Amino acid sequence: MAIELTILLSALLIGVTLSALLIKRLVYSLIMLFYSGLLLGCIFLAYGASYAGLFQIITFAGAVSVMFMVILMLIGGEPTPTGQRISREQVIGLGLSIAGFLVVASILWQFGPSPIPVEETVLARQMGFAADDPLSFLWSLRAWDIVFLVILVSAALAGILNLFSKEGEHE
Amino acid sequence: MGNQEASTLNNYYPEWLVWLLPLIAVVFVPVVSALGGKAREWFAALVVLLAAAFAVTLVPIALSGGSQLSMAWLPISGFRLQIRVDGLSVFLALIVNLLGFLIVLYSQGYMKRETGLTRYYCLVLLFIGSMTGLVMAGNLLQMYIFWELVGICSSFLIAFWYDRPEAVRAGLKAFIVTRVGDVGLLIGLILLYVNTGTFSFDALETMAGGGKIAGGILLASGLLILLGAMGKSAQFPLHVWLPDAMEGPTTVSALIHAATMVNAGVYLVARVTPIFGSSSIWLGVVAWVGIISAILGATMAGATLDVKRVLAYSTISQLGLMFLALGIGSPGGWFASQFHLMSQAAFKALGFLAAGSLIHLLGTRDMNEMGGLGRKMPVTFIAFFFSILAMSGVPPFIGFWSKDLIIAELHNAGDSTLFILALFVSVCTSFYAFRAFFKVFYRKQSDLVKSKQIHESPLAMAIPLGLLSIAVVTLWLVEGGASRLLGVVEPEAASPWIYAASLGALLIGFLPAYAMYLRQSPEPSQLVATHHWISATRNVLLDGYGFDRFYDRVFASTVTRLGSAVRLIQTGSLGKNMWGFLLFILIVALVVLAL
Amino acid sequence: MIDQQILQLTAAAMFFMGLAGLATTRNLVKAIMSFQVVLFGVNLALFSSGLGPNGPTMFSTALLVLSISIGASIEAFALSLVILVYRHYGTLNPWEIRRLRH
Repeated sequence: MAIELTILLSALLIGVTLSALLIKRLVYSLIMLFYSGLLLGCIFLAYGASYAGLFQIITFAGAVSVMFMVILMLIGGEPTPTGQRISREQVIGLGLSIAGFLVVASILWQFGPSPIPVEETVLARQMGFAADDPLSFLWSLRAWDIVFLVILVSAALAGILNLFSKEGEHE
Repeated sequence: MGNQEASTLNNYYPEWLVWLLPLIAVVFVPVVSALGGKAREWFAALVVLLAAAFAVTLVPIALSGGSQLSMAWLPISGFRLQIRVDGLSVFLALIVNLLGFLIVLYSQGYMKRETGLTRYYCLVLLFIGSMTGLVMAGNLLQMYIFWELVGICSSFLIAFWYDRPEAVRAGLKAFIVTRVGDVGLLIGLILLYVNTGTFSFDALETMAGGGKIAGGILLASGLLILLGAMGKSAQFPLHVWLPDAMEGPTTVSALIHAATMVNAGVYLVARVTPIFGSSSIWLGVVAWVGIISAILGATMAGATLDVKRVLAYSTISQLGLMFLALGIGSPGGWFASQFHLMSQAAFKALGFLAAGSLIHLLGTRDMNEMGGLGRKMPVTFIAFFFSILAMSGVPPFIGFWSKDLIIAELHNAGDSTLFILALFVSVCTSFYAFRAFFKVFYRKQSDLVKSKQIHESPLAMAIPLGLLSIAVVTLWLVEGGASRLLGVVEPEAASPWIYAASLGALLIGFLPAYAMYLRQSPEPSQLVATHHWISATRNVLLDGYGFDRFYDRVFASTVTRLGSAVRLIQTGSLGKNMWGFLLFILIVALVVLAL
Repeated sequence: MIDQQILQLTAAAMFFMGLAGLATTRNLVKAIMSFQVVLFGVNLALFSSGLGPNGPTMFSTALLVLSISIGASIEAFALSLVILVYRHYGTLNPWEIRRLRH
């Protein structure tokens, strides 16, 4: 994987996230956060992890951003009052974070990347079920499990419909 | 012992269902209770009856040498789910389930007008299932899981009436005190595992027999596991929770704190005796813990006024006798302790159920407010009377045979100090038992009694009382069967001097109680007023020898003060909490960098 | 590989940026956004640890998907709590919300 692509994407990611955190107006901040999630998904895709990348884009850059939008509509995205000085507590928080980052970064720089796990075939066999344990017994019941799940969900739906059709009626 | 792999679960369903059935049924209790209260009660009774039936079907397996089912639990870790069906497990499973059935039946009448019964039956079923699972566990880790479950059920049931602060306090106290024992048990387990590599009882027995466990480790882990047993069985010095646990409903007291859960400690010690029994220090500690608890319980029962507390102290005392018997170290002592376990379960449950029907009627636990109830409540009268007779050890009741077995074993072992002390305990036992009996059923009727409509208990309560009364008289017949089930040689009859000694102790205890509480000469309150040493002793006994005050001053207040100190860092603002988090990361990262 | 190290450094930077935001913000919604940034850092670190010579292994992708879904659900829950807090306290400033009973 080309290293320039990685550096570009990482730098862009950090820049976008930084602006997401520093911008005062909540709606703009939210847009930058959405963009940041999108970028992270692109990083995953660039390395070929298609599942993970798509999933990241779908949830974070999709569902979660919409959810934030709804929250902002409910709460009212008035910007935090500007013109306030940076208080002492904020400086302490910022200082601790920067210190923490420097220490962790130096650790990561000194030690190389973590060793890659053993081939997947061995791992799959280790995670495979022995024949005589409760897990394989439960796995053999998976058809019934689906049936019960369907029943459970329909029962829940019926219950909800039942509860909310009697509005204004308290026992 | 045959070791079978359960490749198909279908062939072995009694072994599984005897403990799984009540556990699974817990989830269905709320569903059934939507159909009505009656359905819920019958459902619970039916489930426990089925579990008892399964336990009975396990008896032939246990008689033919026992078996152990084994199933891979976490394949990576090597822990296995082991169900052990041998004499001891089936013996206790039978006791738990049969008594559980009778008590669930009794609950139908006793808890009739209560709310929150769904919670009650859920907890009782959970308890019965976990207790059966505890006794049928084949390795220490599995047993520990059920151990904790049983403790939780007990605390919740003590605090069943949660709007009463004393009940809540008692439930918390029970949990915390048994927790001390549980921590010891856990550490002992882990110590043993680290040094032997296995949790399974079988493997540990063979290793200990072959001398492969170092002596120091054996003693240390043995003592720690004993600590756990002491906590659960309310032995000195962790006995303080059991008297307060009487704040719970009487059925709970009968089931958990008389007949089953407190026997878990005795079961544990009996189960690990093959492992640790080679160390005479360990046996000595077991015996002395037992006899001290027996003396403490027996003396405190003689002073208290609450009828349930008398039975609670009595339980502590009888359990102490069981520990004493186990501490002798001989197979005869082992059998005597298990036989006494069964007999104590029977007569103590009977005593509690009879007291329960009194409390249900009168609404008080104070014995001074009872009196003169003999004529009007025949079934309860007979039940309580039989329980007292069995407790004191009057032949032919079961208490006589089992206690005598212990005393005979003590005599055979040749330890005269313990023998004399055990006889002293018998004297005290008979004294407090008859004291309670005379206070409750004889003398003049108190005002409270006169104001209430005295009638006998309903059928649901009377049937278990009747059945247990019959059992208490006839259980001596199963001594041979029990010894065959438990795999020991049937003990031969002791010399007549032993019988004479224990009957003599019985009489020495009975006479003062008869004089003071039936004949009222000398009048007890007069005695207290005139003799200074009597009132001083009484105050010490009522105070519980000062254990509660000591624990409160030393431990509880320390914890409270530490808590107040820690309160200072609870600021409640997000930013300041983040400082703590960042500081932690910084420190950990610096440590990693430095290394 | 140098790729992995860059990604890990980025992940650490994201993590600490998020924590700094959490420690200094004066708006609860911003705090949840910072929390999301922390999650990004965590997931990126998880991803970069699982990079093999042929790209990410199947196992690490599975873990990553799991982590993303758990993070998203926690965030949804946190947002609903934020709404409740706003209704109860009337303010969104975490420095002012200090007591449970207001």
